[in-house]
Amino acid sequence: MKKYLILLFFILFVSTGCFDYTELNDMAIVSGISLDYEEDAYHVGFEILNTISKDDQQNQPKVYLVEGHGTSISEAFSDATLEVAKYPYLAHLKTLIIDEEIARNHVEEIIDFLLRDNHVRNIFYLALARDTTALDILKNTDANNPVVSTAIAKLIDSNIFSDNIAANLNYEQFVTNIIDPRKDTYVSSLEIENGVIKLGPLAIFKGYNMQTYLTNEESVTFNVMSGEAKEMHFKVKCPNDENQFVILTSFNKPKSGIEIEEENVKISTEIETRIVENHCDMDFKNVETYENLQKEVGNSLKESMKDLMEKSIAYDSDILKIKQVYYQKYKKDTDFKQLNYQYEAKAIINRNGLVFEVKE
Amino acid sequence: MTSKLENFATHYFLTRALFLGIGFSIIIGLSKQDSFLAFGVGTLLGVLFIFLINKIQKFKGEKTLSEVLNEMKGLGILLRMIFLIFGIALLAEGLTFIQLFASSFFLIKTPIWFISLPLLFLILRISKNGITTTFRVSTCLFPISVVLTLVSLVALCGYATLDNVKPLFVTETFSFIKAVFYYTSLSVTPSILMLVTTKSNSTWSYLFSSFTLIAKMFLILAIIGPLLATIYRFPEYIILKEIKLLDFIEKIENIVALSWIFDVFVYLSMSSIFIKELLPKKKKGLVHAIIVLGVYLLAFLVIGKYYTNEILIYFALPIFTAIVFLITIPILLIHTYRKRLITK
Repeated sequence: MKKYLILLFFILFVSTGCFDYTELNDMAIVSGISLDYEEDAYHVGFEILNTISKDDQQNQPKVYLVEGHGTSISEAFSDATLEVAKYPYLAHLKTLIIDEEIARNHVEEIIDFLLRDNHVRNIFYLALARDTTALDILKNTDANNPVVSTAIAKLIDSNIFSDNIAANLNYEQFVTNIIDPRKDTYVSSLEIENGVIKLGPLAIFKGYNMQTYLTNEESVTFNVMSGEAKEMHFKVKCPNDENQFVILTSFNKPKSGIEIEEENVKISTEIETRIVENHCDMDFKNVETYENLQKEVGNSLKESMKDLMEKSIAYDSDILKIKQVYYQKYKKDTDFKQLNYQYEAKAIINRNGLVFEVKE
Repeated sequence: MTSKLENFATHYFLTRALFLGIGFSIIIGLSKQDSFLAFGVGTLLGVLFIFLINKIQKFKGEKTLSEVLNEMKGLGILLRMIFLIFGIALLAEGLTFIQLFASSFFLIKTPIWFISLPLLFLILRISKNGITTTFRVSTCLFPISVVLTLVSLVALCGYATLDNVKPLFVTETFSFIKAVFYYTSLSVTPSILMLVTTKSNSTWSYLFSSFTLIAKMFLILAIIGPLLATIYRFPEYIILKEIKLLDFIEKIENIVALSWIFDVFVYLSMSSIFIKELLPKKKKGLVHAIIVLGVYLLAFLVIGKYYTNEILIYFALPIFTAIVFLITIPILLIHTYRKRLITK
């Protein structure tokens, strides 16, 4: 019996992970990481959650920032941890912010480094700092957003359901796209405007290298064409007054699709819209009024789709995954720039709000 | 003699065991998005080989494997040696990969030699108690493993994108055949360990186990795509990180991954029992303990120390196990069949 008790004690001792036991207070829980590349060196910033208990905390900030430099990413990470007398814990990472230089030339190195690290959970958001450094974004805390990385993750999350200029993909999906030669990827950008972080348009890639930014409108159009955008606004000029307009908003995810027949590609989208604001003098009890509006919205969307595709071709960035769709159908590769594109956009007004029109 | 349920549970674990760290990764590398088809075809082929093992079990009746080998005289000694090497190789592989898996994700700071030490004691204890204990432990672990597997499959369904597995049938014929062969080898050959029991029928357990493997493979491909899955060392574990239940239960990958640990644990116990069965009766316990201890030392001092050894096992094991299977099983089948005819 005694030997079994000794065995049991031994097994409990060694199999409960005592060697890997770390007190919560001894962990530097990294919530956000910034990565910049300047003067041939990586500059890393860790946003670390303050784990001091509430009683001891008093007026201490919720997070603190440490920085590191190095000619390699691992060197920069090690340098940053020198400032922390704790074990850096990356499993709670919410956001990774990179600067433009990294996005243009060093994404491959980052992917390699992060995929090798067994602590990192690859379901955080990747964002690009536009016209500023990634570190500046991470430093931009205020009373409303004490933890920047969480605020950014929420910003992207909520944007996916409202204005739709953000990319609805996490780091793992980003990597899945980027390593596939038949897909090009995109990433949300962040800007600082009047000292406040705001979402910028999508940045598009060719392979591992960032090419350019889309405009806000193009970003929304891209999300509509991908079938992701839930909300898109359309401003239609009044037929009898050029200075006045009616605003329609799409709701629900659009039905989008790409059909390829030999060298011809048909990109189609169907959206459901509702009238949200009217400044026109139109008869809203007349079917023709709605049909005209639907046509206008459809044409406007079609133009946007065409513009976006032209930009995508100009930068050789296949963000709509045309090459993949072609390969799926014909099991051979093609140059998506050489294909002929047709666009089909259909808008349906199926809600008018609570009124026909305010004026009698 | 073990019951039907015990046989089913034990064989379920054995079929899956070699896929942790080897099976998924190596087959995705060969057949990309066609891997789950390779698993399917491999299963059909595997059933034929399982049928051979079932026949041996039927023909040998109540005799133990050791008794059958004794009947075969010179050839029996040769087969015994091959089986012993096979058992030791499986034990070494199991210990090495469980160390690698645990030290990569669970016990990062724990010294490697410490990780498999409790397993070693458990294996020795279970082997001392005999085959019945191993089979009963498997039966206890079986429902837990099935629940964990189902939780992971159901929870991951929402993250699957069919685009990632399209188009099908793009792999070169030779690579696809190789993938089918690897699947068959890795899923069927541990069934040799079932020869330590009598009258077991492994077809349904093999099919059930294969179904969980095919479903897991499909989800790996549909969630992270064949290209990313090829890069990862343990894609079967990585996808578990995505699990988010009811939008608030997350980071449960280490709990769900316990089903892999159970697989390897049963597989290690069975390998140990298999080795013990084949040893001569004189000082069997002591020799067995020395062998298991030796394999443990080999696993962390030699094999686990250098990654090159793991790479070697990674590629060589499916070929080695297939060779052992193809040499030993037909000979055993013919012998047991002839013996049965003579007895009749």
